Amino acid sequence: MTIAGKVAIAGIGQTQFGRGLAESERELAYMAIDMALKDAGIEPSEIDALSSYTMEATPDFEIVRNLGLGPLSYFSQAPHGGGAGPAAIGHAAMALATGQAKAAVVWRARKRSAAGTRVWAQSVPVLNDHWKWSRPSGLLRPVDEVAMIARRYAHQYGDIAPALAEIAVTLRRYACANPAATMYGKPMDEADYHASRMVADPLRLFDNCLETDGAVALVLLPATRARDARQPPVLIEAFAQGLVPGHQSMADFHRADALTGSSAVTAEHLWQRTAFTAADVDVAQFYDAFSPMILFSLEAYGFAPRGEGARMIVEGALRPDGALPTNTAGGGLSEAYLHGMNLATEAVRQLRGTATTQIADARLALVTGCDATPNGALLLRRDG
Amino acid sequence: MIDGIPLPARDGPFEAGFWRALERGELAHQNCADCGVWHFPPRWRCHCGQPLAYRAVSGNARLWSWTVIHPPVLPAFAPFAPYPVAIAELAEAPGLRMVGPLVQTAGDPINHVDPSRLTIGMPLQACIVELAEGTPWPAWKI
Repeated sequence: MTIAGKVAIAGIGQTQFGRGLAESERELAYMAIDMALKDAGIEPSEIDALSSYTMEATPDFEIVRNLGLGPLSYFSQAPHGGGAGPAAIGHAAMALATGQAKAAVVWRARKRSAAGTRVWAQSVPVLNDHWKWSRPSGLLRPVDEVAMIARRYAHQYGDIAPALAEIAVTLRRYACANPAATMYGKPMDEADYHASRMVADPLRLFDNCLETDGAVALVLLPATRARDARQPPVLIEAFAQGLVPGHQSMADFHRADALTGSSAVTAEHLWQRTAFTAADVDVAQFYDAFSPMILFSLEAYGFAPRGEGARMIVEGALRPDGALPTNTAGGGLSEAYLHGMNLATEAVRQLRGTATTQIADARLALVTGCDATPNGALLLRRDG
Repeated sequence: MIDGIPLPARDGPFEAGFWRALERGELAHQNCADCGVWHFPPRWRCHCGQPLAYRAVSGNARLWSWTVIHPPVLPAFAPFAPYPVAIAELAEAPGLRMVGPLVQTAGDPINHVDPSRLTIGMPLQACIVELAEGTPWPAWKI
């Protein structure tokens, strides 16, 4: 049995993205969900399923109480931080496809613009989890962990600095066309990128995602029901997750082939579950907490052979007229960092034809989770 | 030794032999007597299903990757930034890797080694340093 085409994303909503927003994280969640319900034209009382991230701070029962949802018959959370986004949507989709639930909300809210709210900055005095093997040596932040893999990749396959600059500049250009983006009105060229300060060599400030206050929500309905709703349905064509043996979240250094990770497992299963191939994808939304993740994901999902992703990027593949327009609202680097959930809503806008940088006749979109954690991916398609 | 850094809990499962070896001044990792595979981080048993025992390793390694950490960092590390951090791949097996500080001599501060001296693949040698009073940890001599 497959879920292909049985479930649709029928509504999307988002708050303002920014720094120091007045609303609490919970209020942001409620606002985004309310907008997604109105976008879909669905009454709150129709929602009987909720799905989000294990890192989500607002309890499901508060969502139900404050928005007037329910009663719920399904509620779920997906683990692994930025790896969780596609799974939060995918788990809800499986519940709808199997009849376990009739209408689902998926959301992510964060208030992370203040420096003290960084997860790494809240490190405890004694580490009990797998970070005990790396943090005491001073490898503290997610960017440090990705820098290790980026340098190793460059050692094996050649210089990636021009590709990383192209990623940052291209995503900034998309953000400058997107009035909702944090970096709207703040253009950046390659010289600006190379002038930005080093954070974890070889990664610079503009290789890092934003830290954002904001929330994003989606409404999922069975495809048959979605066709009677307000918006053109965006169908879930395929969903997969992956966790390769030996993977530990972020500090993923202990597998013999450390450059082939959980994304490869996810990709293999995603492509097995659909007749479409990577060549059919019109627009990609790759999880981009850090710029190298786009390079790694491009290869893991089959858009470039291993070691050739950087060349593809430098040739302009990610641009609006390129082979694979990518993170077309600006992504985590330049639109907002909401653990990747804003990548899913951008994929929906592309397939509805309402994106700020609209890719002509976009029919098929890929949305991926974090390459450095156990993760997941969704293939979305326009109905009909 | 740096005051106030996050320290590894040393009472985790399957790792007593690792810490006991470090206290003796040795670096040891789990090894399968049956299939010979080395494992780190510590785990319950070998993939082949057989039990694992801690065995001393040579301490010979190569630099697998490295980064240089620039601010902002945790307050305890701030006086040392920027400083390099290494991943050492141990001679015993591909994939048997540890994150650790680089030194020229045991006891050097973590920012002592100039990153311009580093190349991936260069030989490293383990030496035991103290992260804090009573918490030994392997550093990697260039």
